[in-house]
Amino acid sequence: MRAVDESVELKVSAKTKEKARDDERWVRRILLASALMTIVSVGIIIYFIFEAGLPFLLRKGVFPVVFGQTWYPGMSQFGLWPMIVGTLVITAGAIVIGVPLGLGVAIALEEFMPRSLAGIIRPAIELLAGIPSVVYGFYGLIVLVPIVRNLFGGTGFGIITASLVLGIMILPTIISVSQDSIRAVPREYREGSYALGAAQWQTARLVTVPAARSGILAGVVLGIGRAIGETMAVIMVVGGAAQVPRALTDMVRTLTANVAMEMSYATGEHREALFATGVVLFVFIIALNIALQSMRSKGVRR
Amino acid sequence: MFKKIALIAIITALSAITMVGCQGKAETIQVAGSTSVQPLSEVWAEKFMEDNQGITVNVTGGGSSAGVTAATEGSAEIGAASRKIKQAEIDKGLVVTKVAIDGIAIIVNKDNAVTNLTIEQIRKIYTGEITNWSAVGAASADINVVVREAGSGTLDAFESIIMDKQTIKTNVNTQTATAGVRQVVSGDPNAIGFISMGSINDEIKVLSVDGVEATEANIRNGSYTVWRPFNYVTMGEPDGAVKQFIDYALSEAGQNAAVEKGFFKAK
Repeated sequence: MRAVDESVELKVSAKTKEKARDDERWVRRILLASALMTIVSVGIIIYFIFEAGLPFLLRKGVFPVVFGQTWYPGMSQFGLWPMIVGTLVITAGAIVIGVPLGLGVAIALEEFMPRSLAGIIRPAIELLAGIPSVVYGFYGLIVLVPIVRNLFGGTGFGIITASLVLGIMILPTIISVSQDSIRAVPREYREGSYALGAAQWQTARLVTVPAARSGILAGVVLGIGRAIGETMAVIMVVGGAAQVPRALTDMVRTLTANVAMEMSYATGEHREALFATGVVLFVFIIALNIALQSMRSKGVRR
Repeated sequence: MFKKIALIAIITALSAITMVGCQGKAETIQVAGSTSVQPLSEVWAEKFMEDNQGITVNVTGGGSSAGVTAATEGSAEIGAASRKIKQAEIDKGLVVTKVAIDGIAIIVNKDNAVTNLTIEQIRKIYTGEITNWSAVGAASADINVVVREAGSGTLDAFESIIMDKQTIKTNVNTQTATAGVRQVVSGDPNAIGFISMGSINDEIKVLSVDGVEATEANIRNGSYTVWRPFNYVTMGEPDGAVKQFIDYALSEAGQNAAVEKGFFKAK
């Protein structure tokens, strides 16, 4: 009797196993399909941007378009240099404002702040990340533009205001990524430092932060990516002048703003030039991603 | 030339597709031309098609000259032009119907002491020759110039009426909507901008140009010069569905729709 029973049990379990294996196979296929979807969508987007923008770049020459000083579609002038400089300057401004602040908050939250206070600040930062960019832009337009105009002169629109808005917008990214990498620093590092008589700030400055360096850098690069890609908030406060800036109070235009501002009624060559702007932007983002990857792999090696 | 051919090819292809789809019975009117007129044509087309089942109105851009060419060559039933039609074009057999008037107001901040500028002064402000308000009789301050984005119909109007083929300087605040221009000008005591006259409100101050106040009456009596006509051109007198559509545009309802969009009635 016992033997029979056992054999039945064995049969059942074999069937279940087979079914499980079947399920496994299907789930694996579905997951693979979803993974492939992302590659396909990226591929399609790349194809369309390049298909629409590349012929223009090749016809006009990459050099004259990328380094062309004048953007005046009405006169068939399609130089992207002012927008490239504008994007770089504003991103740099956002980094100057956002990185020290964000890193400071991350260190404070992880190393200095009592749990109760951190419990209030953390959700506030998450809320900051959830505010739609048009609200940031509106705030910049209504509040920051007049303040900047009174403090620094000029129109109030331009590099300073856009850097301020973007600097705040990239805070959540920088804070959360740096916080994670600071938290990942082994306890023994800090304990060793304290054991040698170092104070809390000395430990943070000389041990914890350097140990979390690569993660913090990754946060900064992600922040740069966000700053370069941001469109709506920037359009509202940057002034949109297609010129190479000579002062921090000058108005500029970014690559993203260039596309978004002029898309609606652009036809013919003008439209192609906007897609070419997209191609240049794409190259920017690819370069950033490569930088990010190399930073991450360095982090692993250490 | 290639652009023209491409445009015509596209229009032909589109109308061919629509015609095949509708199999003879339905009629299609192609309206091509000025991107400034396009939004207004689209409103008219939408309402017209609601009332006239079986007639399809396709509205495309391409620019005033492309519209006139399309009408002349027959690739569009109606060409839309936001400019006066040249005598040479009329001589080819085009019939011009004015469907609306686009008046442009030059605006400054309410705190600005300036009340009048000449076209010459406005042009020099926009080319960058004049950069300080003191040069036009106000207290010394940098002039902050506001424009619309490339491709905008209002910018097109401003350039064709004021700029006389000169280019606008690059250090200008570029806004993508009338409301944006108003917002900037109402917030900055040193700003100057331009908007459609239909969008004037009391947040900003409208300047006289060459000593003439910007009003609809002054456009009609010819004294205020910063305006342009919106014209529909057809090859020969319009008839059939095309006439129906143009009649709708000129009707009370059509003209009121134009006023809602910020333009003035044709008459």
